[in-house]
Amino acid sequence: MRRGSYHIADEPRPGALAQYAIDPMWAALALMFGGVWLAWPVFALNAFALGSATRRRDLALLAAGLACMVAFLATVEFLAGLGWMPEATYPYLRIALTALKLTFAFVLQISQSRAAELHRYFGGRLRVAWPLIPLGFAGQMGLFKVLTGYWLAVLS
Amino acid sequence: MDRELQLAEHYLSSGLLHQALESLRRVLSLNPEDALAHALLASCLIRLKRPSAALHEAQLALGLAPESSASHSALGAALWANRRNAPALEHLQTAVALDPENAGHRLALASFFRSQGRRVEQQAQLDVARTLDPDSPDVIAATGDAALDRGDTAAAAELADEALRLEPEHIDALTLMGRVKLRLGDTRAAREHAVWALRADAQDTGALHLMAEIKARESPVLGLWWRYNTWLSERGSTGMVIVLMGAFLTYRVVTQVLEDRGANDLAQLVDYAWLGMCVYSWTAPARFRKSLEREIESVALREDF
Repeated sequence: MRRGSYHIADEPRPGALAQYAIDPMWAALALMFGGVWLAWPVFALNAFALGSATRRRDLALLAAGLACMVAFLATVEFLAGLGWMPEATYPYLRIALTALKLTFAFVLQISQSRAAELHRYFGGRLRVAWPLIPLGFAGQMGLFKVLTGYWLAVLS
Repeated sequence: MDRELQLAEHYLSSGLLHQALESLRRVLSLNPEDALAHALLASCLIRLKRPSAALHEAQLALGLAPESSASHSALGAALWANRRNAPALEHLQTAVALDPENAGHRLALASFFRSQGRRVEQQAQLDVARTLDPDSPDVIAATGDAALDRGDTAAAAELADEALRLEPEHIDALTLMGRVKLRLGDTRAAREHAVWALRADAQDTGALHLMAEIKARESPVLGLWWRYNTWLSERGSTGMVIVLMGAFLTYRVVTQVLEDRGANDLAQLVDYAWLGMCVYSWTAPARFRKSLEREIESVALREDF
């Protein structure tokens, strides 16, 4: 069937990076097996590779995610300095931080899944990005050696 | 151009959404200022579950033809699909006010009222729509749905039959007849109608609900699984994230509390249960799709169906 040239708002505009587009599920897995240090750049690159119509929103979400994590830890540090944060609450704070990271990752995954479906609808292919998993493992171990405290909590 | 637009309308009414979309794309490639094509494209995108693009198209339609009832109706439906109910109602009512003789606009408003549980207003719109277009299978099926909702199975059966006589493959009418059959205890006939509707549109919410009800009648566990998947497939992305994060937080807090109290064995059990749920959630959508496909393929319709 002949296709017209009219462009619908949510349809991707793939560019030179289109051949590197991956299923966003792999970016979510990169968060689980590696951390923010790996997942965030993968989500950002994938937004461009997919030519996603929401790529600006995706980038804003990534920035907001980082800002929220930093703000969360800064608040915790401030409250701990005032002595309002008993040690027993630390494991729960870790859970809250993980939930924060996962929330942003899920929102991004859902947003990019739509773009990925449309990318496939227009004949595009999505790469299987399994190397992200061993890379995540290895990188995570390296991260523990290089970083401590605050930044480790944000980036891991 | 007009022929292409008519073709798109035909595709839309037949449930051939991708063909309709490409047809409308061709119309808009030649004339991007065609407000009706934008409005139709918005309707098509809503049915393809692309609500943000639908809203964009409906807004374009309204910008091009602010006095057109079709533009207001499309925008109302698109806003409703984006869960912005208050402005949606406003535009749906404006569409009716601009063109009170249009049964389609009345029907859209009635559907909105139904979703809000406003049965009296729904019935009022349906009654007018039925007077305006007594031979429309859409209107007849919607009236039948309303009858079944208020427990009038006999009237619903009659209306479903009438709609199917006019259009034997009408999805809403098939679903309505399936619901009637199920209410009357004829599970087999209900399944045949659900399968027929799903063959036309595997994502039709009404038909999926009917199939979930049939499964629940056969086995409560299987029914729960179908209901869960149907429910999950209807959630917006925000709802989905809330469900997932709620489950994750509950799991992590429960295990932490158990560990704090020294119940490590129990905490481990919760860990295993969570792992099982993760694996299940990972595979569930694909399993649900496969199960649906199997169901559609395996049910042999009787010759007299």
